[in-house]
Formats: sequence, C-alpha cells, structure tokens
Amino acid sequence: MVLFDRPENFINRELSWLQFNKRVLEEALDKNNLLLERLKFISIVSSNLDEFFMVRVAAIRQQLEAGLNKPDPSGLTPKEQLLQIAKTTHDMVKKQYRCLKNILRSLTKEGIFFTPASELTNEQRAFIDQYFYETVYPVITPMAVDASRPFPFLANRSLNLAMLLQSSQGETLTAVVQVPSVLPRIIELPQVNDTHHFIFLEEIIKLNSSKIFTGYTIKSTAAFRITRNADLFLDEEETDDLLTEVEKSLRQRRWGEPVRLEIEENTDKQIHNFLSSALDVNVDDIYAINGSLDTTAFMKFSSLDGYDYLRNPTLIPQHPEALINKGDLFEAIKEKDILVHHPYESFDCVLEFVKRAATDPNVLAIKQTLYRVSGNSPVVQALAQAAENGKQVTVLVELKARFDEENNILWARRLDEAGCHVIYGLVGLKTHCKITLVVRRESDEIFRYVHLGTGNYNDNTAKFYSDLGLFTANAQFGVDASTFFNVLSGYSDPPLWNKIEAAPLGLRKKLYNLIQNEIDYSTSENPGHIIAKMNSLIDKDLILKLYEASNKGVTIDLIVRGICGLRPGIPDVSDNITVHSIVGRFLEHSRIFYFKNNGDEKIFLSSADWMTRNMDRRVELLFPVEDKDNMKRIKEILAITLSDTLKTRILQSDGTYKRVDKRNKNIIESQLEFYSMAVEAIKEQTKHNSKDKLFQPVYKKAE
Amino acid sequence: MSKLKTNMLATIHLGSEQMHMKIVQYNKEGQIKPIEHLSRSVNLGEETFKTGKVSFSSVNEVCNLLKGFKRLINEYDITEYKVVATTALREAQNKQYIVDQIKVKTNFDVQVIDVSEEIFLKYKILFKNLYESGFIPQEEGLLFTDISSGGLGITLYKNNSIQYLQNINMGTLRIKENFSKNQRESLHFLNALEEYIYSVIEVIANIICNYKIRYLVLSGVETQLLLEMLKRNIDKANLIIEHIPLRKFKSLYNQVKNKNINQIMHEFNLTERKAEIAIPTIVLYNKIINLTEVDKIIILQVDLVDGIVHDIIDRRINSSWLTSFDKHIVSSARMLAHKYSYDQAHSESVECHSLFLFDKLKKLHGYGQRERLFLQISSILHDIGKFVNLRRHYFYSYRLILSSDIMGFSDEEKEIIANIAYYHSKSVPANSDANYAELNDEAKVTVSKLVAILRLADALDASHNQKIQDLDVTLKANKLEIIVDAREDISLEQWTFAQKSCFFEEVFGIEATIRKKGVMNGALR
Repeated sequence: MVLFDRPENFINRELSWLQFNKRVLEEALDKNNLLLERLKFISIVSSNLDEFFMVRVAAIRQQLEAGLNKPDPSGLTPKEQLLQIAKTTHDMVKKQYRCLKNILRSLTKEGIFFTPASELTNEQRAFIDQYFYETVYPVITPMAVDASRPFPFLANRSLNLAMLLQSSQGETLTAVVQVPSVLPRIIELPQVNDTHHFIFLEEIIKLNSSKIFTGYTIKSTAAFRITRNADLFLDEEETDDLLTEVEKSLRQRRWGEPVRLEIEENTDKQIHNFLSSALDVNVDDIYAINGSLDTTAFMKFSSLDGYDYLRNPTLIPQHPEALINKGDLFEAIKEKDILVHHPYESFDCVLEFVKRAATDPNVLAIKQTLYRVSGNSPVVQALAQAAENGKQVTVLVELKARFDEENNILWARRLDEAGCHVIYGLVGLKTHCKITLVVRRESDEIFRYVHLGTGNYNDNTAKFYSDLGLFTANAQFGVDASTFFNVLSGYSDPPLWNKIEAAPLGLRKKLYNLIQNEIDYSTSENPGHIIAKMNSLIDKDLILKLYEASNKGVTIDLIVRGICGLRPGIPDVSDNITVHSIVGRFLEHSRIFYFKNNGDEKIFLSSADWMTRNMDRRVELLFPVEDKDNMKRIKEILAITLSDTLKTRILQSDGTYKRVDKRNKNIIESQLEFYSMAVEAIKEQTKHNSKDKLFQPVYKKAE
Repeated sequence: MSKLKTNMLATIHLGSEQMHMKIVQYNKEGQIKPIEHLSRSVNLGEETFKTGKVSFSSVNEVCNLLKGFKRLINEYDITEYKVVATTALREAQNKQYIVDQIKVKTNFDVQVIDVSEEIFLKYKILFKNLYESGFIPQEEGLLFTDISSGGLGITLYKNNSIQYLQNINMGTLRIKENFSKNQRESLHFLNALEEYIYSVIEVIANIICNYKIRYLVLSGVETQLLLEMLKRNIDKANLIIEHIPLRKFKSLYNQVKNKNINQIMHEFNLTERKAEIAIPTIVLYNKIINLTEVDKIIILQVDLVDGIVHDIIDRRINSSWLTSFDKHIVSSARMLAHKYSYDQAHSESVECHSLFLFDKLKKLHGYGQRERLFLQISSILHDIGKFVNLRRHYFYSYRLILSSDIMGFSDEEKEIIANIAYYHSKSVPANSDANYAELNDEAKVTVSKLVAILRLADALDASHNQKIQDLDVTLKANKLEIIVDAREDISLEQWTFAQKSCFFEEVFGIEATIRKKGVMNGALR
C-alpha cells in the first residue's frame, strides 16, 4: 500500500500561486508578444500580487499571530511559508521591473517616452507646473509628522510621497503627501517632434514639492505604497442584516494591518527608517522598487490611442454557432440544449435570455444568482425591469464576493427597490454558482428554461474570460433549478437532485464517486481516463483521491490554470497524471470534467474549483452535459486545449513549470484556435444562407 | 397572447416534522403534472408532544416559511390552494391561537384535519397509485400501514372491500417522547420498545393474523427514512412504487437490533433526530411483518400533500374515483356493523329505503352526495347499539359510532352520523340532549333532515321482516305519499310509520303518509 499522504507529494498553495504569477510575468517577458500586451501583463502581475498580499499573506500572518504554526500538507509551517513567499516575491518583483524597463525602452522606439525630470523640455516643464497649480495642488493634503502629529492613516494600496524637510533654522521634519487617487496616474505631456511623452503624477508632485512646503528645503523625497490586510471579517451568525454588516466591514478593510511596504529604490536612509518604524513592517516585507511604484496604472495606459499595432487585434466575439439562424431563443433552447463557448462566442445570448424574459408577457418568474456583475450591468437592469413589469424576480446577490462588495451593495439595493425578492447570500456560505431560471407559461403549460455557467453573469469579464454556458429546457434540469432556488430561499430542504449536484452538499462525494468509478473500471488493457480543467486544485482529499486513481492506472490529464497542489510524476503516486497550465490572452476560467466511464462517457461543467473552500464553504453547482453534439464539442475543446503548444506550461515533479517541447509539433495556440472555429462556423452558415435566403422579405413581425 | 387559464393547484401540509408544499398542474382528464415540491424541516411535533403547545417562535418560523410558499403561489398566479395541518397542531392546546396567528400573518386559512381524515387521504392516494399500476389483487389481502409522527393507521383491504380498520395514537414521535433520553440510549431500549409496541398493537395482532395478507403497503414520512437506510437509489424520475424483498428488511432489522442510537447514526450516516425516529419505525414494521407473514413489502413515495392534491382534483373534475372510494367507506361501515352482529337484512332494507327516499326527495332536502353518504352509513349502523344493550340501543349505537374508526369521516362528520343513528328510534332531535346541543347549527339541520328520512325508512321495516318489496313516492302540494308493494300484512309498519312520520312533518312541513299498493286512501296516517 502506497502512502499518498506525505508532505513531499504536495506543493504548497502559496508557492504554487507564485509560480502562476511567474507564468503571467513570462508573458510580459515573451518577446513574441506585442509591446502593449506585454505591458498589460506587467500590470496584471502587480494587481495579482496586491490581492495575494491583501488576502493570502495577511491570512498566514494572522495565523502566525494567533499562535498557529501547523504545517500545510506540503509540510511548510506558516513561518516557513512567509519566508519562502518573501524570497520568491522579491526575486519576482526585481525581474518584473527589469522587464518593465526593457518594455519602456522598446516603447521609446515607437515614440512613447516616460520622460525623466532631467530631460524635460521647457515647454513640458511649464505644462507640468501649470498642471500642478491648477489640478494637483487643490486636492493634495500635505501632512507633517512629528511628536504632536502622529503618522497619518494611509489607505490600502494608496500611493504616497514621504519627504524629508529642513527648516531655515536647520531642524529636519518628515512629511507625507498622498498622491491623489482621483487624478490620472499617467499624464501626457506636450509632444516633442511627434513623439508622445508621459509622466507619472508623483513625479509632478515631486518636481513641485518645494511649493507645498514653503519655507522648507526638501532634502529628499521617496514614493511608497502600503498594502494592508483586506479580508472581510463578518460575524454572520450574529447578524440579522447582512447588508449593513458588509457595509460596516468594508469601512474596516481600509484599516487592516500593513502587510507590505513598497518603496522607491535608493531611498534616503532616514526616510526608509522612518517609514519602516512608523508602519511597523519587517525587513522582509519591504520591497525596494527600481522604477515607478504600482504598475497597475499600465493597464489603462496600454489602451493608448493610435497604437493598435502594438496590441493584439480585438477578437470580436462571434454569434454562437448553435444559435445561428435561430429566431426565438426560447424556441431554440426547447429544440435542443445549447452550449456556448465564451468569449469566442458572444455573451450577448445570455443577456438576451434575461432581457427577453424581462419583457416576455408569458414569463412568470426569473430567478438568478449573481456573484460579480459589471458596473451598470445590463443583467441587473433587465432584472429590475422584469420586476417592474410585474414578474416575480428572485435574485441571490452574493454580497461577500471579494473586492466587489461595495459594488454589490449598490445594485442589491437597486434590485430591492425595483421589487425583486433579493436574498443577500447565505449565512456562512458564499454563493458562487451561476444559474438562471426562467419560468414561462406557454398556452396552458408551465415550461422552465435554465442557464447554467462556469463564469459570472458579467458582460465585461465575459469578454476575456474563457467560459462555457449551457441553456436547457430539459424538465429535469427545470425541476432541479426550481428546487435549488427554493433551497437558497430557505423554503425547502435539499432534495435528491435529478441532474445537478451542489456544494456544500453532495459535490465532494459526487466527485469522489466519479473518480472511484474510473478506478473500478480501470484495467491495464482499458485504463480509466479523467480530464479535469479548472482554475485551482488544492483540496487535499481530492488530490489524494486522484493519486489513488493514478496509482490504480487511471490516466489523468489536468488543465489547471492557477494553483495546483498536486505534484505529478511521482512513481506509484502520480506517474499517470499530467498537469497543463495555460496563461494566454484570455483568462482560462471554465471548469470541465470528463470521465471515460468505461466508454459511456460523462461530461460535467461546474462553477467550482477543486479547492476546499469551493467544496465546503461555497454554494457551487456541477451539471452534466448530455446532448451528444455538445459532448462531442466539449471533448474537442479539451483535446485542443491539451494540444496547445504555445501558451501551455507543463508542471514538473519539482514544482516548476516548463513550456511544451515544440520540436516536431505544429504550433497551436488553443485560444486562437477556438476563435477561428467560431469565425468559421459563422462563415460556413452564412455561406449557406447566401444561397438559400438571398431574397428575404421583411414583413411586420407577427405577434 | 392566449389567456387560457391553467388549472393549477397548490397544497401545503404543516406536518410535525416537515412542511410540504406541492404545486401541480392538472387537466379535465385528471392528469397531474408536478411543478414544484418543497419540503422543509420544522420542529412543531416535538414541541407539541413535549409541552402540549406550539410556541410563538415556532409560529413565526412557520409563518415566514408560509410567506415564502405564498410567493411561489403568486409566482404561478395560483388561485386555488389549501393549507392543512396535522398532529402537531391538532394536539396543541393552543391550536386556535396558532391558526389565528397564521391567518393574521399570512392570510392562509389552515384546516386542521383529524387522524382519520389524514389516513383516509393517504389511503386514497396509495390505493389509486397501486390500482393504476395494476397492483390491486382481486382477493388477496393488502395491509396498508401508515405511520406518521402522531399516529398509526392500519387498513386491511381484501376481496374488494375494507375488512379492518384501526387508527392508533402511536406515532414515531409519540413513541420517542414516551421514553426518556437515557432510556432511549440504553442498550435495552430496543427490547423495551418491542414490548411496548406489542402491548399497544396486540388487539390488532389478534385480528389481522386471521387473514392471508399478500402485500404490506407502507407509507408515511418515516418510511422514506427506511428507503434511505436500505440504500435504495431512489430514481426520482420514475418514483412511486418500491418493492422491498422481505429478506432485505429482515437484514436491516438485524443490523439495527442490538445497536444504540449512536451506533445507528454512525452506521447509516443519520442525524440523531432521524435515528431516533428510525428505530421505532423499524421495530414497528418488523412486528407487523411478523404478524402477517406477508410476501412482499411495497413502499410508495407519496405523502399527505399528494393525497390532498388528488382529493381536490377528484372533486373538481368529478372523478369516478369519488364513487369508488365511497364504496370503500360503505364497506368499512358494513365491516363495523358486522363486528357488532347486526341484523344484516334489516340494515340493508333500511339502507335501501332511506336512499330511495333521499333520492326521490332531493328537491325537498337539497342535499348532495356527502349527506347521502351520511344517511347511508347511519342506516347501516343505526342498530349496532343492540350489541351492547337492547335497552337504549340508539344511545349505544351513537357511542359505538363515535368511538369506532370509520373510514373517510372527520370527527365532526362522525358526530353527525352518530346523531342520526341516535334519533332513529324513539326520541327526536332536541337541544336538551347534550349530543345534539353540541352540534353547530348547520350540522343540527343536517341531522334533523336525515333523521326524518331515516325514521321513515326504519318504519318501513319495523317488523325486521322485509315485507315491503317495492316502493314508490308521490310528492304533491304538502303531501308525501309512499306507496308500498307488499304481500303480507303491513300493519306494524303502518302504525310505526304514523308514529315516526310526525318528525318528518316537523322538519319539512310535509305530511307523510303510507299506502299499500292497490288500497286506495283510507289508509292510516
């Protein structure tokens, strides 16, 4: 009997995440990518790290402070984890800024300059001074720090300048100026010889610092940035009103303990010491930055006008193949289950589904779960409209969706006011599943239409997250969906489901059973086969179950974009397991599970990653795809994903990721492949159309 | 847009342990399509059994849930719905207050139904399902055993009629509350429980062991638990009928035997609450199985809400099931009469005459099928008191009817039937009689009108010799003439008729006379 549960069989969650961020950084480093795309990746590396520090590092820190020093499955104690995180992150940040420098240097060849203070033209300098006076000065608040004036409270992720001042009498003083977040971070300067010049806001302030503290000389200045613990703490059991509780804790978030201090490299020693003691951060948590702090500003910058040739051409989402030449959406769904692959295929059909339901006189009720939606979301608008049209609308709004809480409260109120029945989440659980139910009365009968997805009902992220969605009018799905909403509303206890499986109820067990089933069927002549695509795999028990399956000869292909705690290639433990990871232009987000089941293949889609939180502390759904054509299509999607050579990295048993050996292989970029498939499908269909329906008169639409 | 109103119906059951709601769609053919089924655990029963009352905090919980149910009812635009409560409310001392609170807070009218109504509703749906799947044998016996948290209902169906019927106040929760927690956790509990259960059902045992019974039909919420423990994969799509081989049940029983609650919880992965209910259920079923030597166990996945749904729809569409179930009711009454050694020929004659008169006098009384059934049952049972004592036999008839389980009637309805029997012979309804005074006004009128008819019918066989072969009536102006065909002398009948018909005139304002066919006028009044 092989012992699977040994520390060396697992990869630490945080280190695995850092590996993921490294893969993102590699995209920035990759000279095959276009310059502004690379800049975008630089920005993503930073925003990823921000969240990592605010949530993960903060959590480990808290564990440690609470006196917990229990090792994780890979045998690392929190203390050891923090050490390794610091070491890896310091290296990563150095690499990131070296890369940024290279990119910026390359951009100068394209006529894009980030001008250092020393190279400003007179005209530019005059512009800067005027900009400072007119725009910046009115919104800054300089704060001196001394015995009577304590170090000010600085908001999480805010950029600040520390200054060392000297009075005419010779006494020194420290002061802090917040770089106003209301102003654009990157400002364009007057052009020089048709080249574009830019400067950072903090540089403008620095250049004019003497005007802020009149009567003092500025000895030195340094930009710095604080990251704080930003996880919400809710006492859900004790609260009647989740809405106000979330609001309250949101205010607290800004006050969390500092977990990281980023500071300009070569900062004056005095300022350095002043900041580190005032903020009480360890040496390891101080990141000396060789460049501009907070590169998240480059995200917006990368969409700079006039430089399309430095960006990937926009891939316009196509009309879904299954809906081509289909008039009525409900009719089409009733005819056949419809599978949609975003963002290659447009998310509009999902919006259309809700919008149609909102105005259709036959629709009795709409029910939907919402996790993250875009600002001014058309989904929210449609739901509100539906309620105003007298439909019964039930919406579960997950207030606790991290970093979206503020947004969520706003539109939860909006829905409430419109007359929707709003459920503000469930005590102790985050509702992460994505399901919409439309109840319709057609002549004399009740019909239910269901949409289930792997991605959020967010029209913005749907443009760059790869997700799958299924529309169905299958009565058994309908009953399940109705009951599911009754369970969420607290009207019913969980039943035995017809088709779906839900966490935290039976999902974990269902997955065990599915894996066990492969083990049971697996023989040396006819080994079992599992393909599982997800964002993260860290649940220890599921990993152990996969080890058991591998050990029994089941072939397991995993496609895990982010964290993966499973270590492949260990003899007798995981030598039948491969782990692919794709970091590409679109964020891989779909969760797909394939089981060979001795030839009677089973395919499921899900909202859940294989993380402990998804299995035990979230409301998630897993649902089968049963239509033969749709199954075929998903198998094709999996096959193409697994054959990707360009954006795939393969996890090695030492925990590192290596690119695919491209020798003797066609170069395949799966995401582009999917896109061209979507385009081809449209072309194919319209070609037929041009013959069949060349003359298509338009009459007044029949009711 | 077509505005064809769908026929939709919602029924809600406030049970002791669960609240259920079922929403269905139905058509004129009686085809039913389920739309929603909700079931949510509540704790009403335990509270009632422990404290005798339902607390107001529980009422709030129930009301919140009912408001949610109402949302769904509105969602489907449903106008036809019914809310029914059973044991937990039935036995709560503060029943009226609770019903009132629910009305105030949710605007639902809760109807608290009696044990026998509950069992009959379930019996009907079970029978229907079995019949429709070709499961009702012609001659062999079917024993319906329904266990709920508050009661146990035993119904024996054989040879196309009800052979035996007994409702016992022994439900799973009640059993549980009979023993203290310590006792329940003791290793001797199972043994004690078996003895206790046997002591209660001994009487039944002595009767049903005389019948050859082929199928045992189990129902009730607890029965689902049994399926769970037998680890039957319940395929929800083709639900309804489950067969359990006897040996499977036996092995389950053996698995449970000699284990305490904790072990059972662990072994079957049950919550404590479920485990505590599972044990008495299994012990009870085992006892009954041992008594009957059945071939097969059948479990149906239907519950009270289904029963209510079918009951309402059957009435709505005037289903043929209505008359068939009335036949079951009548057979159960005959069975009861038989138990008290009734004069079958007389009883049948009275039944026949009174129904004839009832049907002929429709315009006079304005009653329908339900009242006809009251009259029929009281005709069958009017003399059973003679089994106890010939003196004041009407009084004993009244008592026996009240204290027997007759299928298909609520307690109130049984009061009506018993009162009709009470006044069949000497005295006539009067508020000086406590049994009559207790009735509400509407029931009093029902009793009086039906008594008036029953007295005439009884008079027509005063001699208990069934002399009258045929019967006809004419109703003209304020006179009712009954023309009878008889070969023998019917003086006794005529005299008795004259005596008993006064009340008829009192009630209907119509003079009733009897005339022998072929003899013109001059008859005795």
